[in-house]
Amino acid sequence: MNTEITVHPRLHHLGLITAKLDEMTEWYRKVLGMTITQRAKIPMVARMTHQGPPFSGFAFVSNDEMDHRVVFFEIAKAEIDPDKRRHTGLQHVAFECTTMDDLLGTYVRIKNLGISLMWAADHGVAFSLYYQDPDHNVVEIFFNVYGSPLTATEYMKSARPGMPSQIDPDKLVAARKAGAEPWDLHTRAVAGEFAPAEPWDPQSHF
Amino acid sequence: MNTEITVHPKLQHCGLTTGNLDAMLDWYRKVLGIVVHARVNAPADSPFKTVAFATNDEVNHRLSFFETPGLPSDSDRDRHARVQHIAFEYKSLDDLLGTYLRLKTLGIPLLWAADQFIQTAMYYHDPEGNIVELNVNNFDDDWAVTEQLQNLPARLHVNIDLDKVVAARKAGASPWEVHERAIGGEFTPDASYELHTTRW
Repeated sequence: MNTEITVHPRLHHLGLITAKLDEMTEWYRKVLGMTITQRAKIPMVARMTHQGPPFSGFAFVSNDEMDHRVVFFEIAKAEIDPDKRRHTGLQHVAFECTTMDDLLGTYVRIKNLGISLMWAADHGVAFSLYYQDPDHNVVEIFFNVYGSPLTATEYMKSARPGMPSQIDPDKLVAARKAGAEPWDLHTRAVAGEFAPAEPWDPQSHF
Repeated sequence: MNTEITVHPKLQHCGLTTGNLDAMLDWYRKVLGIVVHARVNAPADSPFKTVAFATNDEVNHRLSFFETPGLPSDSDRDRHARVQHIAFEYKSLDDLLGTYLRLKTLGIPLLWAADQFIQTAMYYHDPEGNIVELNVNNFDDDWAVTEQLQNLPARLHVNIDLDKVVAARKAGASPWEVHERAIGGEFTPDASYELHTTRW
């Protein structure tokens, strides 16, 4: 077996600790279409004797062909870190839509569910919507405006990423319905046409 | 446009905050083979100083790093809702085992390894104490993995000593035989992993 040349494993899933297993699985179902593959409780005796994991329960969820894309570990006492921005950790986790209309339609669908947007931007490479889950983990949903991952990589290598152009997704939806193609929307977003009436504060939102 | 039926967007990347970008990029390069496609100074009103976009495959970034120099880890993290681990998948057991030996040679300590019925997995701490899982499915077919997850045994996993697994594999055991012998307890470590004192 090869023990010298670096093998490149693929991003597969992430695990999140939560006190709100029901609320979290429900939120990920509504927002991302995740269904539960397996959910179980860990017997108390296993935890007390260190014979099992330090969780009271878990749920594996997925929204695609993989058995799980997110696994939630339940710890009843887990609270939201009030100093989250002053500690290292997960900044966000991102999910990709295959079309601009899927992204905008999802924005409208989620809005109709009463789940509020945290902020949104054109990053030059992607249109991104940001939401906070019930534990304040930031979930990004985006569409790559270059289509091909390799073209997006070329864009990244050109080192142009700068301050994101903030967008009001409702204005984008209106422009798209009026006939604008995704690339036109991108050009107009970067020019500032879809800026929100009240810009989001980078210090508290990025 | 469809505004009613739920679209399923695909997991694409994770962003991590860090107090030491160079140490993180070096570690993820050694462990996952990432390259940095962009490393930029964050704009003046951003809460970060530097942002780096890195990947180990065809996607422009699989990991983004947001640096605030000196940013500490959460000393109270056992009490907080947070990310527990980030996982990356190999295509073969040999890729996993070969990587285990490569990382051992580099002096990167293993936290834990187990056969978890759906997959065989090993765990490491990155320089910030984030847990990175490296895994390989025990089944070739993704749907078989889902079937196994839906029918998970109560014991959940069996600890393994990866050196014993490497020896069995080199002696000719197929990946499926390795899995069967692992859950049979043949590769149980002589000294148990210090799971309840490890920072999970």
